[in-house]
Amino acid sequence: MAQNLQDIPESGDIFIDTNVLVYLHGRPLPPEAKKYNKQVAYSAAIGSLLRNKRTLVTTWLGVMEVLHVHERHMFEEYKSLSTQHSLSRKDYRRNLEERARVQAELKRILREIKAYYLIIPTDPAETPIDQFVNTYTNHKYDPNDFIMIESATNCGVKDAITDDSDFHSDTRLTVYTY
Amino acid sequence: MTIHVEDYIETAFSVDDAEIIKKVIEQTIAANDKVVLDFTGITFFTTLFFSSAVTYYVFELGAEKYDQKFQVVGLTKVGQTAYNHSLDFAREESQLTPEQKQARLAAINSAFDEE
Repeated sequence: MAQNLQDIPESGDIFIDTNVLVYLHGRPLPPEAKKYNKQVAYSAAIGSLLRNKRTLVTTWLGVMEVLHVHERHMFEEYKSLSTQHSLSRKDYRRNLEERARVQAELKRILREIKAYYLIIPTDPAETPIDQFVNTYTNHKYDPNDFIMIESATNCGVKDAITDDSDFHSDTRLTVYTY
Repeated sequence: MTIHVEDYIETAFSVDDAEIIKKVIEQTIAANDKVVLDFTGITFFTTLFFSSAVTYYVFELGAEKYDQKFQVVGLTKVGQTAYNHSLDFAREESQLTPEQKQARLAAINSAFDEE
């Protein structure tokens, strides 16, 4: 069961999911964008937690996801402004000028995430992957989310902020969402 | 006029933070003063904040007038990077035609729908 962002408890470490990190550290959305209100709400919630010196937890796997999603967003934006409508991501990655632009953005994002979050390691090794498959009908996670949450809960995290409803059925966590 | 940002907000992180400092900037612009934003003491920054509060004025005033009117000082390394990127976005965006802006918006909406 998900709770409102206003109900986040006043103590304890909090896991911040990839989708929330993308809203906070990806390209700012224009106010007319469909998901702009989510960006406003998540930035207010995380800003408040930082002011209260709370420990915000993410994983290196989550950081990789943020960078991957942002690269895709930059590709989609570039394609929308390009006359090459059939441009593929492989073609885009060969464009050295664009690659330098993307690199500058990924450096900025990485710098912000490293500065503000506790980044814990994940272990995508045999045992957690076996667990993911063997417990597949008991949860709604994709493999990455499963491994990230295993790592976070093993570190004692009990609260998570996410925009992903797949987290709602996890009884180990209290989930806060917009 | 120098606006000591720390007097108004503790973090330069959220859209809410941006709305608070934007009101102070509006008063300075209305008084026809140069806007010097001093971020000394602030340690949490996002590009989102700068886009909502500061480089928003690239669209309002035009890039040339923005450069004459605004000065930003006292940033940490993370803050400086976030500000520079926000300014780059605003300059790029201000060059787009209405049709390009619409195409970009559609691409953004579609990309975020997939998340």
